[in-house]
Amino acid sequence: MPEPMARLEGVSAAYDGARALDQVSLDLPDGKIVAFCGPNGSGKSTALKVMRGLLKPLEGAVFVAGRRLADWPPRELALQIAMLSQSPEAPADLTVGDLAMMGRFAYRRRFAGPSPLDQAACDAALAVTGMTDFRDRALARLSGGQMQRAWVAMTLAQDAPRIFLDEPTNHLDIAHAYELLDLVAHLSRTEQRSFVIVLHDLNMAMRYADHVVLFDKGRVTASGPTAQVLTEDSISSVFGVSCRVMPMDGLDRPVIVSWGRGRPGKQVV
Amino acid sequence: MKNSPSLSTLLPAFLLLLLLTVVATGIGSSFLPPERVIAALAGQGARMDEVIVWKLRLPRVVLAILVGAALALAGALLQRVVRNPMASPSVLGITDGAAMGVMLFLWLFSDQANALTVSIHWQPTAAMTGAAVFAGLVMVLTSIDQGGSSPLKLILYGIALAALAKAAVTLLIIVGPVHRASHALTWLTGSVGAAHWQDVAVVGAGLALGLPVLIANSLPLRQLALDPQSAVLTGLPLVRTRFALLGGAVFLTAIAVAHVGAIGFVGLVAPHVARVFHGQFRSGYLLATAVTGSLLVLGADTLARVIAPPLELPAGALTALVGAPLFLYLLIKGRQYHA
Repeated sequence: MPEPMARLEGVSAAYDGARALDQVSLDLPDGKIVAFCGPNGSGKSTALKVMRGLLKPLEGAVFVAGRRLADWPPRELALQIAMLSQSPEAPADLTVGDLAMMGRFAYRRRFAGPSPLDQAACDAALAVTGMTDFRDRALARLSGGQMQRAWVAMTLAQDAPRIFLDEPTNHLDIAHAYELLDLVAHLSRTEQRSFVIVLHDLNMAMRYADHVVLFDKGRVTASGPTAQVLTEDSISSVFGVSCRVMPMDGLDRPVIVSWGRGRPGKQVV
Repeated sequence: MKNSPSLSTLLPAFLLLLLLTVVATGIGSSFLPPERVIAALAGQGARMDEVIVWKLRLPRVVLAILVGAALALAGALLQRVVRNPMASPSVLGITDGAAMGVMLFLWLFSDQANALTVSIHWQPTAAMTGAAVFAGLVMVLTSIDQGGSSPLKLILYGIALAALAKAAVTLLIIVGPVHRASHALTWLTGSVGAAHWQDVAVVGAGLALGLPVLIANSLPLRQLALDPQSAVLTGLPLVRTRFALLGGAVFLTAIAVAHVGAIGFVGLVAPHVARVFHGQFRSGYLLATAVTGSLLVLGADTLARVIAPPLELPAGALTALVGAPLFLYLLIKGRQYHA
């Protein structure tokens, strides 16, 4: 079995004083798109934070990239894992280009300006997110969708082999959301980068993820290949809604249709 | 990324500082026109002119420039460390904390005859201690506050502690050595009036010591503009960086206050002005801030000498006159700082 990208061993963690993870053990495959799914407050974001060292676990051990998390110096960890958190903030007068360059912090040396490599990584990140034309624009003058893409550009400029995204489609309309996940799929296929993405939308997870981890009340109820985890039974029991998983003409993955609680055909008013 | 040295904005600022230096050196009880000042500076003036310029006026002018730069840089550091454009050494109580450290030192180590029982060279250390204690207090109070860390909380704690330190300074002036009371205004509002070349040397050495550290930390300082979580995600050692830069701000404030007293609001106004005319993410931002601080204190001191001669106002009264309204404006405008 190949080295896992990340491993949790009996990890418990608290977030905002409440216990959010309860003795979770988990192996995440390398080189794949992994989706963390589950209801609000099920611990998926907490798990991501713990895996990046933003949150110290109460107990248990975390390994990433073959090394105990606590043993990674801050800069070297940033070279291994890039992450976009849920609501990042930067000054309004920062330009998109400067924000992308902030992603290069771990590479830059004290007294030097950006190297050609830094510049190239920023150029590539801006190009792939479609933000090249906005390079000199201040963040204050971006729309919500452009802002999110600027932050994604910064995360990609970090050029790490592993990328964590915490609900990256939050501020995006459906077109931009698919665009972002297409980009993720592209980077995963062409550059073999590993992704862990917290996703609310089960259909997005079904369509893009290779591997799904289903969280419920601070525990992992299922972890495995997408089609084996996202089933009518598991979704019904974790989310408490009725649903059907149906094949769809022209799509290689099925779609999930839910109508809330109750039986189909009965409209609850 | 704009990596040009941004001369288009820095050069005019430097020229303005040069001009003001010549004018400020010329102004005094006997006025010297610019050409005589320049001749004296070049060592080719009349003997009397040279004495006036080099002995009497220049120490004061140079001290104002150095102190302005130090306070401005301290303000720029603080604003990044706490991610708040309203932060500055005086608003966070660090300036008055340093002044209190000095007053406590003078009170504790003076004998019956009002002579110091220890070397005066300990005075900057006393200022440093006072500044560090008050900076620490503000940070601790803000971080243990259970009601969340709103940006205004920090400012409120700072203002409360600054008021406390100012009250302590007043008290120490009254109970302290009698002859020091004549310097009361210096310690309450700050003045460069009593400048000697010795003061210039110490503040200059402090700046020379601090500048390499600042330049070495300019990238982490820039990174601190991101929210703390994002900064960590890019690889910034957050706690260490904040601590180091807060220490730098305390050092720069204390070294200035130990020699000129509690000149306020320079650290608030200068970075703000530099952001407007230069931009906080262009290279040379710290330089622009430092020059602005120098212009501010030198300008204030020059005005203070010409407003009501032969009386001299303390320069700190004038910097507060500019700074306080700006502070109010920032408060009213709210935080349109972060996207």
